Amino acid sequence: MRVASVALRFSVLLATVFCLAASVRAELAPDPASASATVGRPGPHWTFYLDFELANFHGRFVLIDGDDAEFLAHVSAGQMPSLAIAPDASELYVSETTYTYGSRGQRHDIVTVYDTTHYAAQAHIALPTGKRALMASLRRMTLLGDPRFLAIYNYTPATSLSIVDLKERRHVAEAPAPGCHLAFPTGERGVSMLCGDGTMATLVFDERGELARTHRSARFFDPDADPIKTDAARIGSTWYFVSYAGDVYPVDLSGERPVFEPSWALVDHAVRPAGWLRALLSLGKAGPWKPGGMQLAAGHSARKELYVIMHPILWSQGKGDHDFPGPEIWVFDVERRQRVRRLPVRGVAVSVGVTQDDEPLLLVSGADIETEELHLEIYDAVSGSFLREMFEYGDTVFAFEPVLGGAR
Amino acid sequence: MSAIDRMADRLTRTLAQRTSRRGVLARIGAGLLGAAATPLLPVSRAGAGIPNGRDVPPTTTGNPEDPGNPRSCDYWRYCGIDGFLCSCCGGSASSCPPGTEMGPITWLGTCQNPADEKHYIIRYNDCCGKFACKRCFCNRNEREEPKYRPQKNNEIHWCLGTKSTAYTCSVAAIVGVALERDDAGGA
Repeated sequence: MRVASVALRFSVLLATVFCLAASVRAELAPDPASASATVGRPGPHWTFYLDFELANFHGRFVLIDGDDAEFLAHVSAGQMPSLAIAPDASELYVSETTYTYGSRGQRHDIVTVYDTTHYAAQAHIALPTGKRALMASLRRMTLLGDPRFLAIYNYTPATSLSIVDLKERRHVAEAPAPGCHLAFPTGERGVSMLCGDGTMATLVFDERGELARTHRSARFFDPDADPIKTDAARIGSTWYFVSYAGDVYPVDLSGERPVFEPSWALVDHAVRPAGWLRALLSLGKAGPWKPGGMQLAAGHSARKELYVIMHPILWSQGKGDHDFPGPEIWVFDVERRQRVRRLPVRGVAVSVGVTQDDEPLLLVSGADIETEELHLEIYDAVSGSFLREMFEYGDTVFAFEPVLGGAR
Repeated sequence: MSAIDRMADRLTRTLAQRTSRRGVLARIGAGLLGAAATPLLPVSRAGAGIPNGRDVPPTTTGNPEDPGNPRSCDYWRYCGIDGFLCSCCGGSASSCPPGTEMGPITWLGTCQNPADEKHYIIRYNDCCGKFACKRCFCNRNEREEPKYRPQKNNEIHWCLGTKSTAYTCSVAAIVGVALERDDAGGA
């Protein structure tokens, strides 16, 4: 009792001394009534991710620095938004759909222009109402090789492209593209689209953004036998389309027309299904593997590397598994057409991104196998070591869009 | 059952029990046992934060020829669905919740009814006009094809031709018996 009482008196005395000490120190000045942070030039590991909000299918693009998983800025957008970043990283373009009364009222389809210092909306460019394609998909919008123009893919379900002149800040043309979908930048002012018969249509625009001519390619894949996923990875000006069964179809879009390179296999198609003992001992990883995921592939242009999310078919049963997440990212040298690394992730990966610098980071949206909690994880893309995780990132990370301007 | 089969059976059961019942490894165990594989798909399963209807009380169609729980992702008609199940939000497997509008344009799937083992053509309509149901998310991709085959794609927002494109939930209605099993895109 006596010891406790002494201790109590001593701590009261100590507290009094600290309070006196604090009172003689300078007080903090009041903060300014209004203050907004600004953002500097992008670093090499900066990336946007699309946080898809399940409550209303709206989205937001969040800018983070992969070096410390720090949240730098974000832009909030309407239904199923798309993002494009100016080549010099000076502006962002977000296409979005909103209604005057939230879920009701008059529909507005717009492109919002943001500066990248204040991340504040600078302009709202009206698109033809009710045409913008609303789907859980990348590649619904692209800057042209001439970054004065932006192409937006429309689906009503009739398909077309809307062209926005970013200098004039207005919609200038709508070009029909029957039976063809999504938008891949091609040459100086062209856009290639994937068609249901396994061909590509390329729409070429003139210096005013009007449709000049259209090319239709030969069939370059068989959509009935083995469809290609539309979330292609870009390496330089070549796009790599991964097929359901595990082949890759490279398409060079640097010229006016697509140039189709021979397809090659990401997997050894000769691997037989594993027997039960090997299956068990390997926890299901023995036997054939397949690609799968949402944004399932990413490319590193300087390293000429293709990153693909892969899963063992014993996990997925091999059917309808083209979106199935995978426990490994396989890295391929696209010049040698060989796998160079296998990078296991902590759980399973759903979407993947790679920064474009010399010490690239691998950005992974995935899930814990046991708890099924979603994670945003950052790895060293070369060694595969886990570096860090971003907590409280939002609802669901659907895709990554590394800021290329930072790598220059 | 041979001795080897019995041993495999015991091993897989042990493996499945030792890991989380909801985890991937449990499903591998189930798969090795030959049980129907529960789909593990990016959004349907991966994500404690995503409502997947696990704890939503079950319901039935009341028709033994249409077996299963329409509030469960495993219900046979949902083999190509991607979205919230309307049966968890005031609608049913084939009708929209109150105050929402059924999108007139659909994507089609082919699912096998375990009762008569016939393949049925299923239309998956979205219900539109209010924000999301936020219950019973389900994503199964059997015979789903990419967006350049839109009539077979389930990632397109099918609130087309409705007053509002706000997405509420999805239904799976029977169109009829499929004459021929459609395997396209099921690789």
